[in-house]
Amino acid sequence: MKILVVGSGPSGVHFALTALRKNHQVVMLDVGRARPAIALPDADFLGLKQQLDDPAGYFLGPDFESISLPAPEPGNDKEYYGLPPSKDYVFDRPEPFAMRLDGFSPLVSFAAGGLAESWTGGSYPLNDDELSAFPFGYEAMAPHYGEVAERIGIAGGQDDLSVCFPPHDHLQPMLDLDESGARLLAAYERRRERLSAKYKARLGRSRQAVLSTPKGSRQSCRYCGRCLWGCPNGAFYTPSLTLRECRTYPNFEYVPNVFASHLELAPSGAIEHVVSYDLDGGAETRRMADAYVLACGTLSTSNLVLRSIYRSRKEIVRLTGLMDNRQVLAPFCNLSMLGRSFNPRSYQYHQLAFGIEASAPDRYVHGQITTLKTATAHPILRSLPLDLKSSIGVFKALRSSLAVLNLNFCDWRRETNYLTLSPEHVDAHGWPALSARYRPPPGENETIRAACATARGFFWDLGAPLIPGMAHVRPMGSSVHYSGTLPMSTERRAWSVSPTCQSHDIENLFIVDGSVMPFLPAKNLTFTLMANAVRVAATAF
Amino acid sequence: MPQSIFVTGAGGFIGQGLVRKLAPSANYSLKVLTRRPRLGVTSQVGGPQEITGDLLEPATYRDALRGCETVVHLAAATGRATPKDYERVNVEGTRVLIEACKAAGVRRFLHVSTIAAGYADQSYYSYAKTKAEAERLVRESGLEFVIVRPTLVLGEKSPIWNTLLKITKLPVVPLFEGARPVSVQPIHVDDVVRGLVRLVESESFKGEVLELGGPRPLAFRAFLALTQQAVRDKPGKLLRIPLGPVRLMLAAMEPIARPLMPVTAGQLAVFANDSIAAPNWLQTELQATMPSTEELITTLVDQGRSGDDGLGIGREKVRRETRPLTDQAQRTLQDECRALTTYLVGTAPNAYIEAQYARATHVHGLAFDEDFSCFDRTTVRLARSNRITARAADAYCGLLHRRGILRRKLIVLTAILEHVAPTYAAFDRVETRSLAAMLLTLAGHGMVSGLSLLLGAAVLLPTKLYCALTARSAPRARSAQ
Repeated sequence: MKILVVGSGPSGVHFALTALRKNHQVVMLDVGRARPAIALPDADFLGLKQQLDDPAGYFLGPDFESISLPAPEPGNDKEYYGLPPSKDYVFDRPEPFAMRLDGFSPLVSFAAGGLAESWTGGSYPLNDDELSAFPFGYEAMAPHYGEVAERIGIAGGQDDLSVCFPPHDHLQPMLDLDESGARLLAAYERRRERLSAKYKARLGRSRQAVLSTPKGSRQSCRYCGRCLWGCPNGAFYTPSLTLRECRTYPNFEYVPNVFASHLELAPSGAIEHVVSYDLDGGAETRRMADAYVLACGTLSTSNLVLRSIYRSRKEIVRLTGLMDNRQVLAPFCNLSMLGRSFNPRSYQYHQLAFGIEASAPDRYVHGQITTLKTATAHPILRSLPLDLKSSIGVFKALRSSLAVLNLNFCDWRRETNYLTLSPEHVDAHGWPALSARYRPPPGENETIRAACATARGFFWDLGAPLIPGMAHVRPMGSSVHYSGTLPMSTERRAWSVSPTCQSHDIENLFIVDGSVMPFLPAKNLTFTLMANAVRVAATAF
Repeated sequence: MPQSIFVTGAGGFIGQGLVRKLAPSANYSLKVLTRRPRLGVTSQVGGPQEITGDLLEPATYRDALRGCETVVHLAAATGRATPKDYERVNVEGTRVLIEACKAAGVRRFLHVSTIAAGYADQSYYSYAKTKAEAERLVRESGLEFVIVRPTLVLGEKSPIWNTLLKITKLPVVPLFEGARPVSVQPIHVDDVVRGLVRLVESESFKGEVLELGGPRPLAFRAFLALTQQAVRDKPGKLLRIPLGPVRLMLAAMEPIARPLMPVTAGQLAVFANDSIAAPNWLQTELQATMPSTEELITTLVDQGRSGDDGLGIGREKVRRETRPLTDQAQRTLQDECRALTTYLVGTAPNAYIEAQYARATHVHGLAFDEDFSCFDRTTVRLARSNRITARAADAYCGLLHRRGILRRKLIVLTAILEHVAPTYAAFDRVETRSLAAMLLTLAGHGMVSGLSLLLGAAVLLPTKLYCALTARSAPRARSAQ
């Protein structure tokens, strides 16, 4: 069977790999912005500062655009993502893609590997409660979670928090925990029963998509401290590694540097071909296949569907149910680390996770804890109300004890939140721009306050108080877990897909990315997206 | 042929919205008066033509007015300007603009005023008085005119809205109450812009005064309560404060302490007068499609939370400074880099750091002393002088002037120093100390920082006052309050 896949993000590459192994012919269309060469791959974090010819250019960007400055006028400050210039390519947007935004500030990626090229690796399986809105339960997903774990390498183990993560195969041993994390975990172990009874919350190791033992050509983590700037030895998983693997198959054709614009539909409603534009010359190409699989992320997939309907039926529809996790960043100070040094040679992303049981089982709040090691300091320094000299002194004294808890909240589909096209904003080629609208659920503040209060008490009891007044509710769109606009449904509803992710509206169309999530749990969705894409390729093709 | 329109105050809160709305249309050719060419923004083909000039110096824009059919006059002094400045910008500015319009043969004059121009109680409120006086000049100008008086204008970037948001986040919100409770009729800036566009399109320059408000009037208290509800998801407490004595006290302090006061006696006039729109045809027309006040408020709160700017995806590119770095500026930045690096990390910078600092301050628009305000110049000069004054100025700016030039220059330098050998060691050196030694270090920093702050405040508070009182240039022209 000839299958045409659009997009090389986590869903696209894992769908493709399964389909290739089943001897299907796979063509992948992709904008595919490529990662630049890795600077000094053998150097560790401090080595970069010592050995690079132009360290300022590497760390701050050619135009110093990574310097986090206050805007001259209040109210104009941008959300700080802390993404280094070495990951700029992940967010480089081709000219044909434009968006209008209302209440929603998304990040969009056209990188080979997609947005997950800059993810932080949290890989958690969803349990039956979290899958209750899905047309299948955990049992149907378990083998595919195992398959993905085997492919990408996930470090994780059994501890108190594991009850929130149903078991699956192929977990690697855990990485070495940094000292701050180890002390926090030890403090929790000592008070475990009291804390979990008092707060209905648990602490444990996070599940990380990073190798603790080598796998194929990928080395294991060597604790070089460069995670944030891009893992130099492939220990940390990103989808471009699977793309590389797909490209070794003779039945795979990768077509980068094209923008898939729309599907041309026959009067019967089936797809005749997909129309794409070459990003250099603008040449239009039509490609045919037996099945068409969209995996370019909720925003681009929805855009492609909307454009296709607009072109074939002159109709602008609304894809409702747009979701994203609300995130709250709460810095805290691990007092047991005061006076101790930090180790720049350690894994930099979250190594601990935190779970709060909520009123309903699917409303579980998930937190990830990142202790501060090699982060860029000036955004922290500038946030203190002190002179910078004192800020540097205070920062150095407290550095090893600083950490941040990133709380994630679940989201559910609502009619008020949608993607559509905006006929008022038409580009030079006559295409209306993609338009997003999002409003938070009623009572959200109450939920956030309650979770923050739980976290405050819990971490206080651990001897790691949250820093008062520093918790930051991130704008909607920051968590980059967009989903829900073309949900799985057993019923044949308009703008939905079947349990095997086949469109109920267009017969030879499959959708395998976040668009198909009927509910967005608090746990990071990427692992589930990969497993679901494998499930679709394994069961429907 | 497109209608030629000249806009003053185009950089202000309403002005920006108006230009955004009019500029893409082929029906208009737009000229906007700005006091300084905007950094790195070049006029797009078909976009608005920027006229660099000063409202009070008609010679700077006289030629541009020629051939214009309509003038939209939004520029005004607002906020905490001195009575003298209100008089100069709002009255004199309008007078010279009218004269220039007449000389250039401009036919139509759309004057954006304020609901406060019609307040019965304008005590201490120079803004309202001067806007009323400006209206009189327009009425007597002989031009075809229409006067628009918006009420409370809300929007994501609205100064009033941002103040309100801050206030309503407090556990107890102060509510000034005079002899009777007052009402407001908040309107979204987009609706005001819609009204202005409707007038520009129409032939209705018949000397009317059109007051523009939102969908319905409501008590100020109710408005505050709605905002509190939207911001906090629960009603907060209101603390009633008698208006009369507070106004009297503020008015007494004002001649000396104005630049340091969070609010002036005049601005409290909003608590003594109703700010509601008298019925008129434009109001009726606009009202038909306005969202409810409740929806307006929740939308603004949600948008604020989402950080939505309607444009940005991913990293915003730094706007490049278009002016080249002069030798003089380069030398100044080199000296500055030496002084500030020595202050921050105790060693002199190497040539690489100096070069990076010059380039980074240049691209971030922090390179030219002549761009800075009087106060910013003083802080930068203090910081260049020696380590003690540098820390004093930094401590003051770190607490009280966090968006100022010095603060931003120091952040730029810090960002460079932390990533570059050898200075990165000052940030990244791995050291273990006893808890006691660390607490001692913290206490030391606290003490030095406190002393520096005192020294900084002793020098810079009077400077701030001096700069405000002697400001020769017009205060920032903005659209009406």
